Amino acid sequence: MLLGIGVVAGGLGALLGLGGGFIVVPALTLLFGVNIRIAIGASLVSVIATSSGAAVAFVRGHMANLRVGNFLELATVTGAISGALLASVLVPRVLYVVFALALAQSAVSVARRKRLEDRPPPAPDPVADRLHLHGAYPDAARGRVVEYRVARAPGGLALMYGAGVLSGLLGIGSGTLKVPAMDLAMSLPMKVSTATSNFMIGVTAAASTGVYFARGDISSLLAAPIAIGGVAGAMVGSRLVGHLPARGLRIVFAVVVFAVAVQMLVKGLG
Amino acid sequence: MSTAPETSDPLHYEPPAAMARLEAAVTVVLRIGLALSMAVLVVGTLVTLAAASTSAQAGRTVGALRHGAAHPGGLAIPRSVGAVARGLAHGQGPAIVLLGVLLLVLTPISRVAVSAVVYAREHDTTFVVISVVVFALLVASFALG
Repeated sequence: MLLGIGVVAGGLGALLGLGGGFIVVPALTLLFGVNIRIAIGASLVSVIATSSGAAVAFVRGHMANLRVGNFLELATVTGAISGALLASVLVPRVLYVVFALALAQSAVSVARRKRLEDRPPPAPDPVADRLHLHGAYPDAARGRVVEYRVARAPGGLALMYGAGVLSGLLGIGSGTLKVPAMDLAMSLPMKVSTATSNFMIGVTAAASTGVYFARGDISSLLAAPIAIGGVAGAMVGSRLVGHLPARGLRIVFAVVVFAVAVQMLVKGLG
Repeated sequence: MSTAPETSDPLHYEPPAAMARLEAAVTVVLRIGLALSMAVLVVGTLVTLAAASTSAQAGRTVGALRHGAAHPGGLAIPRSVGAVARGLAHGQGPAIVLLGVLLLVLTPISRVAVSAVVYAREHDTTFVVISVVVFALLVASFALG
């Protein structure tokens, strides 16, 4: 059963550029009645497993922009440490509400995600130029190699700090915040944003796992089967990406996530 | 940035040499880390299950998890690297699982360390500094709990 949760979380996570924590935390708290702090600890471990599994495929396929990822990790790691420390201060009820709001936001941003690949070239960004962040990737759907330029690198860095705080606080990869930050703010193509998000999530989650581990909030009994399932799911998911109708998948995802968000909110307020 | 494709395949993309080396190094680190941690996690889970297989213990375990205990059922609670090592010496399942978790967490961290080395070889000072700072923050996170 736990293994199954891992497979579903890993598969969907890799497909959508997310860590899979949005499935693990609600499943453990709502289905198994596990304490939310323990659920978050287990989720962080599975997020690292999912992200690393998906990252192998995305890095090999030249989809992830490693320089952008390394640069933004400065902010996500700092944010994740802040968030994990904040989580030890906040009461569980607040965590439920924050989690529900984050999920609702995810559902909306994924549902509204449009084809943004054919935008006009962004305004030049001296920071991105200096750091050589621009890149290119093979786009299977368009049948050619697409070159792109990165914009607003400092703004992206600020948004990533926020995404990092949420990761540490909630035990999610917060890919739902990372992907829009790269896609909308930094003008990275959607597929590159998704792949780079998966690449970065492992490092963000590792930072918060460090804090949770030192506090003894990592349950080995829960973490192991979910992590194993997560890797299996991610391996399948990251290979399926090119073959599935993205639009339908996103809508299903948005509906499921929204339903879970409502449940968590009721639990937090009730 | 991209070099002209040498094959007729329009999807053939050859990244710049420095990026290709970075991608190759990162892929190797992630694969080794994943394979090792997954193997250890599977073994640890099996050992744990074999040691705590009675239904009474399982019931206590679920109850304790609900009340917020990370390591219920009277099993050892390894929290530090030293405690994990002691548990391993006694062949305790939870300690083996936590070793697997540690290996898993170390996977992205080593990926950052290896990136720093690759950037250093390319004399890309800015990215060496970025990678080293990220690495230091990750190490610090274990001391902050």
